[in-house]
Amino acid sequence: MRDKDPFSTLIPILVLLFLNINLSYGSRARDRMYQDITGTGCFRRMNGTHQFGCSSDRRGSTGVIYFIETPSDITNLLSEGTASSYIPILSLEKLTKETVNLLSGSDKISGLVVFKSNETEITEYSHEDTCPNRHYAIDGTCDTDWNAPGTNLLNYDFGYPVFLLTNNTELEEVRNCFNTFNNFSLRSHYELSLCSLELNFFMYAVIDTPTCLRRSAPRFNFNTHKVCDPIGAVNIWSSLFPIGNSSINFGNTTHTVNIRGDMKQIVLASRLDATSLFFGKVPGAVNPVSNAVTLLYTSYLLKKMLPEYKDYDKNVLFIFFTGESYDYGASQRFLYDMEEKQFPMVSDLNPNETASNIFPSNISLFIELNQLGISESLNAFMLEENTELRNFLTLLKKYAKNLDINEYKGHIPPASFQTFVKNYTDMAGIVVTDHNNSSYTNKFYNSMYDDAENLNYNYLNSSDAPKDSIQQHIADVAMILARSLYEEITKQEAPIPDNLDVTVDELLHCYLAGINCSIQSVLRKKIYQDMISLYVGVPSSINAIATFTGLTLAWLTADVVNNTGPCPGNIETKLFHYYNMSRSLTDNTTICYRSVINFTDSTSPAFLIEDYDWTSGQYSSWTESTWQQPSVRMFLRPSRVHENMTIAVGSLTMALSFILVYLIKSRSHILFPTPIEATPPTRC
Amino acid sequence: MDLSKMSNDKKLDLCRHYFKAGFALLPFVWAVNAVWFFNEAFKRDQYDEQPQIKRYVIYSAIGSILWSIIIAIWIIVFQVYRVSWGAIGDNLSFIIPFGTP
Repeated sequence: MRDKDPFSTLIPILVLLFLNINLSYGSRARDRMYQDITGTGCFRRMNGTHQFGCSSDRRGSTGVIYFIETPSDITNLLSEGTASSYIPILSLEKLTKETVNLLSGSDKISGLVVFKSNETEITEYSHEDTCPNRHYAIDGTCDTDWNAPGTNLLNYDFGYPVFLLTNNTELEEVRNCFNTFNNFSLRSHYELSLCSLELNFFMYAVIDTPTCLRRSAPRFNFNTHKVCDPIGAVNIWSSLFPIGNSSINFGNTTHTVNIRGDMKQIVLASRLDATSLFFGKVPGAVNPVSNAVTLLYTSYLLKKMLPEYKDYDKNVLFIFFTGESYDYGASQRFLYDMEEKQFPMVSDLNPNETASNIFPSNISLFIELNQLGISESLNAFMLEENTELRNFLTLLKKYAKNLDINEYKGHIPPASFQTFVKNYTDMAGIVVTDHNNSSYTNKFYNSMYDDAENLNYNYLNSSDAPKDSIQQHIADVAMILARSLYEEITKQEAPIPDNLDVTVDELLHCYLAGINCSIQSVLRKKIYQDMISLYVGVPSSINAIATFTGLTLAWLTADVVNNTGPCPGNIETKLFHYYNMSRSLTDNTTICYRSVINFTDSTSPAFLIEDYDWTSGQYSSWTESTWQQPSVRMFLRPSRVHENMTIAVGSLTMALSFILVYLIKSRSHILFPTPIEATPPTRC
Repeated sequence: MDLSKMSNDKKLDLCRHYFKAGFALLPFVWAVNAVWFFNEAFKRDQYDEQPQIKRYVIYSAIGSILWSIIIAIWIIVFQVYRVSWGAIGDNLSFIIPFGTP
């Protein structure tokens, strides 16, 4: 052996080294076990009495994946599945109330995964109630199933996490994994290694709003963790003419504004939020983008026609309510502010300004825009008719050329106006929509499918809008509204505004393709948003859509006070906001604008009132749970037989080792004889 | 402290102190007293102080058992009814679990 070739001893070492390098090459045990999947989940919301939505276990919910192709797959899975827990995977259109009821009744289900299928064309899809905001509607509203396809799963308390997989390649990988490992007889699942998912979207809050608010409040144990936030963002309002008198020193000149004291207000309102079952998947194209853009464009046209105030006795209030999808919280707050003399905030005006509060009684007409997709007619819903309303309807019909104006009396669809008319029954108002009194035209209300395609929107990039396009439709509707309002205010025949450089196309583009658009560069403010979501959110996170809409409204309706350069600093005013913005979409010279724009809190009054009775149902009481970052991971779970074997072997080894140690210890004197000490210790 | 190195009257003193201290809502002191002095009270040959020590040991044992029963009942009642008590249940809790009622 001694004279062995030196190479032969090296070879095993080299092989070992090579193996070692290969095995340890940049991958951690975790990465080799799990594969991350991108997806978004359903989350938990609460109202005054209940919880809704989904949550995973604290450390994630795991289950064996199982693709559901036919309805019988579910019953088979539930009756025959032999793995400990399952996560069924099904295409979106199969997510119905019946399926969910079936799955929720079983303790074998630890989660649910859905995906967008390319195979079937979806014609309707909505998880909203058939009558949205049912419990805050005035009598008679819900006799109609407005949202006919609605499953009402948005108001369902899933006992498990529900995820939407958004990446098709990853979905294919999941499907391959399923076909390789799981697609065998369900009865044999207990003896197979199975492809599994871990869904993690843990919700901190539970039970209902009062409970989660109480648990979020600072307590004696200094161990407070915020578990929920009230749902809400900002209400945005501006007006055509100023709302008070002022004389403002502006450089060397003084700008004075004088308006009549007896101004009546015409409200032109729209909601600015939608919702959906999955977080971040709220494109909201028809509801609310179509109506919000119509409002913006109407305000733009009206300002073009009426740039200056000339002793008119009517003003127009442009209002965006952000938070209406959740029981009209935003409009309730707006009305509450009005009643509490907080609208507009006139208590801390500067000495050079005077303004008085506006009350609901000052509103002569309430016009709400509500879903304005392409339609052959405009539909005006109203409760009761009065002369004011009749006059305005006559004007609408006068200026509507290609569009019919249909009137529906006696009931109105779910709308912010419901909040106002509930408390002020004689308030005159109409809700302008694209649908008639049978149900919504929008078959994807408050869902992830209410996107640009649903609105039939294609970006034209400054080419002319075809006659049948949504751009042209919205521009037409806005023109009808603006001209009618012009005559309503001035009592004169409305002109057709010219020199229009802002287009509906650009406005829609900002909402449907990303806020990072041409109009945003005009506003001179960077608005950050990773994804376009019309979900209202919570006040602690800035609602980018609301910020963008507010600033755009400011730019479209503001007065130019200095056409040559930016605003001077230190302008003392509470009635106005001054903005440095571009002159136009094409000319990016910074000029100074003066706007009435205001952003006010839109969380429900329920969160302001001390000792509010949460069960009373007076105000919207929605909160959103706090959560950890959602995650989905795929891994191979050993078979039950394997798992049982592992624990059995482990337990046996432990028991044996106890016995062995006991035996060795009890016989230690035999095994280890005590050495006889050579020299006995001496005692000193 | 090593009881075996103490004189009998010192032991009685100590046992009495522990017994009295237990009245300050300290059932665990009673439990310690009962266990610690059990041998002194029952296992050793008779001595003068033994009857008194025995008495304190028995009383301490009874006290600590009573306490254990009361605490056990409270724990069961609290765990079972905490959720249905709502605000009171939350206010009586030091740590409230996340995501569960």
